[in-house]
Amino acid sequence: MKRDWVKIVLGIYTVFIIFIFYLPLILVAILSFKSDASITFPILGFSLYWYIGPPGLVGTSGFTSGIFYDPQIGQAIINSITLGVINASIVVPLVICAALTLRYAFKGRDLIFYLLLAGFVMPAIIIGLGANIFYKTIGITEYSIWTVLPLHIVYTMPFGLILTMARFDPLMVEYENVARVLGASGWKVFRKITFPLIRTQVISTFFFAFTLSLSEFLRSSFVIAGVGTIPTYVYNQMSVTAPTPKWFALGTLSMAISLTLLFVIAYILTRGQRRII
Amino acid sequence: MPSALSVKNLVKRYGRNVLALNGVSFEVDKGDFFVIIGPSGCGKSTLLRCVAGILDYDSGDIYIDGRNVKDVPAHKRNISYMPETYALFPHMRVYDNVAFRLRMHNFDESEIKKEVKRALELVGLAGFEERWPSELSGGQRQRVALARAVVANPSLLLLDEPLSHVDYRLQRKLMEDFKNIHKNLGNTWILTTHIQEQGLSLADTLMVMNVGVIEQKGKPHEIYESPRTVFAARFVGDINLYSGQVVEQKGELCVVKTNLGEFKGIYKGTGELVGRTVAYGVRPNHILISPVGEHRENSFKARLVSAYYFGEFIEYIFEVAGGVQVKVHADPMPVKLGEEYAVSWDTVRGIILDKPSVIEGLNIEDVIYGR
Amino acid sequence: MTEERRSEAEIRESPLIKFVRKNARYLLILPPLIVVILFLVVPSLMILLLSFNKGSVTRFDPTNISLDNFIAVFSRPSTYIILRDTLGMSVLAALITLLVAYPVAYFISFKIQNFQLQGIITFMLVAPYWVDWSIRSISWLSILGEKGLVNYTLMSLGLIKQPLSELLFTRWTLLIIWVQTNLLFMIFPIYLSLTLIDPDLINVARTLGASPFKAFTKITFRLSLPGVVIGIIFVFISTLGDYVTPALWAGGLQMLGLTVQNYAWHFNWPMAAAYSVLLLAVTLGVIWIVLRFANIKQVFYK
Repeated sequence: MKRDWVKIVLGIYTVFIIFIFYLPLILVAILSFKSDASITFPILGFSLYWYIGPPGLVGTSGFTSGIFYDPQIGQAIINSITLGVINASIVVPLVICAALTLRYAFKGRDLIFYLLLAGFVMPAIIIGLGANIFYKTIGITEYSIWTVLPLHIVYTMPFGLILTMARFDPLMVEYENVARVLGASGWKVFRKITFPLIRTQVISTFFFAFTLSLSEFLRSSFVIAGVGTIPTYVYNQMSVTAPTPKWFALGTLSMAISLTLLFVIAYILTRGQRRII
Repeated sequence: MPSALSVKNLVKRYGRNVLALNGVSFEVDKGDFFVIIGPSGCGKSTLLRCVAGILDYDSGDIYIDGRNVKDVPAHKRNISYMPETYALFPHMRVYDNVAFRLRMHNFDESEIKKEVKRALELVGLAGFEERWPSELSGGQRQRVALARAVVANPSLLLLDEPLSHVDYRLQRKLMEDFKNIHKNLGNTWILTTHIQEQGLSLADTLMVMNVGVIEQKGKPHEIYESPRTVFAARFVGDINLYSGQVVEQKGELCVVKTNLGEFKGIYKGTGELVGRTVAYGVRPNHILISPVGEHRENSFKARLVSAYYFGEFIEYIFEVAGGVQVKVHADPMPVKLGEEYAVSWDTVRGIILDKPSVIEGLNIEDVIYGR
Repeated sequence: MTEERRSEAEIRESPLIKFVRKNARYLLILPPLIVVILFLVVPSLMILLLSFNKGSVTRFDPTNISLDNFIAVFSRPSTYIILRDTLGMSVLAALITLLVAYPVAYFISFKIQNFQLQGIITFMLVAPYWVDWSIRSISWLSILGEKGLVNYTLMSLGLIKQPLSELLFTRWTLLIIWVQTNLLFMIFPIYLSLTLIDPDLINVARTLGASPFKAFTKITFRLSLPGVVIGIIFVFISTLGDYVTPALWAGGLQMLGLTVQNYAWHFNWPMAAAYSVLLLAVTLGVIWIVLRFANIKQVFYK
């Protein structure tokens, strides 16, 4: 049996890249257990302080605590997750609408397609700043996750659109036509024919929209106030205080949850399917 | 009794330039096996899709079983449509594919099970209920698509090029099956194809289309023996065509002067042809080959240049000085390539046509020589 | 029987309902379109309008139109230096990311036959992105800093005496971070493009005499260009307009990130807007150029 050298070399390379990818994360995880407050090497001791330590025990820059006792972090986590879920829930139907309509040729289709993709293309400051001005102009002065939400939708929708459209069965319209002649009215066609065919893409879109929303920072920072989302909160804190392993603890926690979730989803999606994304 | 399908002045344009259907009108009798043939792009698929209700058209009327379906959406028309790609739902098993129409009309499950079984038996796929479309061969997929289309016995069945992607032997078998099922069910079938043999052997009624218009409609043997235009003559059955001038016309009998000589033939039209350029045609299987010297009506000398084996006959190709060719279909004969022979045919086999096509403004010589 | 009566009723349905029913499939584009117009087109227009105002206004003032901002932008030599630096770094980032990403995408799409395994690897690549960006960024401090992992390991192994200080807060830091941040968004479109290639095309090329390498360069790579282009565009977009990463990790002293200027002019929004317009123009220009290389539409529809 001939050895596929290309496969072996590329395989090693890919593993190396994945390792590089995960290096920061592994580090984050390890360093979150540091017993002192700096985030550099060497590691002198391990402790769970940054997770569950009550306020005041260790600290070089004053008042500090583990994430368990930090109400603001808790709020930030809730905000981020809520925003992520709502964003994904709205983006999915919007992407379905757009992807299904863009199958048909009509006047202006290209323009609309590029316009929908533009949400990804537009530099974040322009969207952020522009939205800020827009809100001011129409009189919205209070910022919350609701002011951030539309920006996330515009930003994550193109990704879902690309994901969904790239995997369309070219015969999809024909299946729908046949179904209609066989007696299925519009909504039934969608439920029984169209949707099952795009179900994997829809699920992927949901999770990518959630992911992108979680780590979206640039646009959000223009229209947020108070505790904000995890990224904006962390960034704000960073600008004010020196980094401590506390943030790593936060990162490790969210990582653990995310990875578990992801593997579960990956398993569900790939079971019996011939394609993943 | 209203016809199964009546189309009046159907016009369909794609964009601004492409006129797919140019005021098409025709009727299909109930219980007929109606075949539409024509070259690719002639509009037969478009026509079928308009009738099915999945394609909008610009003007005209479509009556199915006597009622105007202009505002009736596809799912209320009670007909069946099978596209060229079969379009079996890939995410459903054979059972669910075939059961689809019944489910849409809210039959209950026990009824559905019976009907699906019946339909699958009808197409020769008994026991295939649990299979997935991806596991089936092309021929099997076709049968499942057919089963799906005939279940619950719709009054009208539309099949778009069902036999175009099937190998020859399977084609013959499927053609037989189609006719049997049609006879069994007694409904009306409309089938399109660009393969003329299929049209000739399957059709109760045959309709020839050409770029958005109907060239001729009638019984297959009528069109074969008495084509009304050059296009129809060429598209239905093989034919040798030459242009010539009419020198005499006496009732149906005409004398035409061509480059190969003067020939007598039959003209079934109503025009005054003397002096006009017409097409003179004779089918390859009506031509006799004989040694030079034997004199017959309508003959000329030619050199045998090639012979092709078609199994059931041999296609002999003769050439005259100047490159003009004649095709002859005959049983194997003791002839030699390169030798000269006399080809001849009976006057009654000479077809004279003055109309190149239903489409106006075409030059008859262009159509004859396929320009 | 009831069918006939029903069809008569349908003929009497109101023209509005008929219009909606016939065009429903096209009207579906409205929801996403409206959202995009409201929250993308309108804000952009507002920025454009604001760039014509002068002073410290935060809302468009129609009485205060002037081109002063743009004159200022284009007459400053610093503008051009920034442009040059930013574009240079972005191009570099795009190329490096492409080089790093392509083999991975190729490996996953061509060399892994088991789809479940493909899925697992893909998700493993996606997973880090679920850890949010800022935390991932901080970790770089711990890796590249003077007391970070790299230096610590190298010093403990005795390979260097002094900690390398060029790892952090330099252009290289920026590149490393940019590549790491955008790697997935380059891998993914390339992977997609590669999986859409009909393997028969490559097989035929081989039978026609192409070596595996030639088959790759002339067939596979060419056919994957739409994905490559999308990936490159993504990297450009995220790097051209990135102001945070240069500020945090490249010392901010580097005039990288045209948008660093934007931020600096925080209280002079019209100027920030003017620079934003410039940024947008540059971004669109770059995208337009890159799109010449491949027709990305064909990945999505005919």
